[in-house]
Amino acid sequence: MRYDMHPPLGHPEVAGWVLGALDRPDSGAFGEHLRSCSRCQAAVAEFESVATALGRPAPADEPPAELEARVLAAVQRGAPAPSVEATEMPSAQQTWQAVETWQVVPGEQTGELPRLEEVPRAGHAVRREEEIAARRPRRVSNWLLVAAMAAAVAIAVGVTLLGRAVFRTTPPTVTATAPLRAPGGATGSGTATARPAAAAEGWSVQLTVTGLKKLPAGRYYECWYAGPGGREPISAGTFTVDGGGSQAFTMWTAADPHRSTTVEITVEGPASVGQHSAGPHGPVVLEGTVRNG
Amino acid sequence: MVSLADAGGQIAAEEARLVSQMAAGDAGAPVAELYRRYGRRLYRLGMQLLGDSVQAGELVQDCFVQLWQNAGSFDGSQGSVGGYLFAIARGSITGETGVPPEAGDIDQILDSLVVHEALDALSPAHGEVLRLAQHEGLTQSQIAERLGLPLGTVKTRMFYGMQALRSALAERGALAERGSRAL
Repeated sequence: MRYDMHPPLGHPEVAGWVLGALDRPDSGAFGEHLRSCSRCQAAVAEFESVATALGRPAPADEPPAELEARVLAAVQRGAPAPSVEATEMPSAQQTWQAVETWQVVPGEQTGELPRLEEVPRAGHAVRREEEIAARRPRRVSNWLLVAAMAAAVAIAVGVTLLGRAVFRTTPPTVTATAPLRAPGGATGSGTATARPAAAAEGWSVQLTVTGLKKLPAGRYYECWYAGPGGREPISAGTFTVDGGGSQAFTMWTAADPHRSTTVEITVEGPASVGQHSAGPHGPVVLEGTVRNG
Repeated sequence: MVSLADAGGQIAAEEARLVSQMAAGDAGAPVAELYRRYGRRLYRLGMQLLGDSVQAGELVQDCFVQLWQNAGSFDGSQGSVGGYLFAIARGSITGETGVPPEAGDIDQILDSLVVHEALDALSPAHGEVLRLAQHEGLTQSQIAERLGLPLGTVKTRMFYGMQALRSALAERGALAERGSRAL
């Protein structure tokens, strides 16, 4: 179906007809006209889909302001630059019709996640199970992580951001909080506490920050776990603040806090997102050491 | 004269170029642009079907990570980025809820999301006439009286408002998300 952006106006009553807004005399007359006017019949058919969608309530929730930065950071961390040979993806024609040609098959055993399979279609080869499994959305495992975390034994680990002090190497087991200071002993504002909790496939980190400055648009804070001297940093996630009070964030990380000795919070931005390095690029605004007891 | 199919094709080609840039290793601007186009809609789809803001945010993040991971093999000449993103979303929602959402349900939600976004983007004059008819159930003469406008003006604004909504659906790629069967 082709729809002209600026067709002749024709009968303006067509819009009122599909919206049920015509007054009684107009409605009767237009109903009679519609029986014999193919152009108005076509216009009614087009407008009815719009009117139907308009009549249904639509979620108006706005995504969190920091979601874009989180998405960009996740993409940056997710993988090196992709290549054509690296992965196979359903062809664009398949994605055109994705809703029609892909189905979710319930797990056969209790607790098994549903899997995404292609619906066999005439003239289409059925994909091998391993190929299908390779395309299974990774989010499934993320949600498993969420579910597992709820039942996991919480291991509170105190992280005090107090400068580049020497780090204890024994695994932290108990939360410890303390005031923090800016790197190098400079006068700074803000405090933060990170409390990791074990989950089935990694760690979640409850990060509470107080007094950090609100950043300009496009810039965000990022929390890093690293070894001695900041070696091998692994991001725990990104966040933004509104500039007042305490704010808490839940993050997920592959970093094992037991093996990490330092924690840093940096300011990152679009320039750093475009780089494929796994480490921080921006300035460190808070830093500290993982501390037992 | 621009047709709906032409507008959808332009959008698909433009977004395919963005994915090509991602495939070349640019994880910045192309991702940000596609997020601008689809992030809010994906989030609202997640809110509608999952009912949780944390899960909705995770859904958006996962969709873009998977798009990034598969960007190198995307062939934009045959389909749309939006179609792929929402196919990922459907699979992810199924993994979360254990129940696959009906394809028709997703189409309906997406249609509603897009048309309400388009309504918000209309001029106040056109949008007000449509809202009074749709939300308050007023007839054209009642709208004319309420706004102090000639009846003919209300009829014309209502028609062009609906026409603009239909055009905006195409410009925003709504039909591209649903596939060629919608054209």
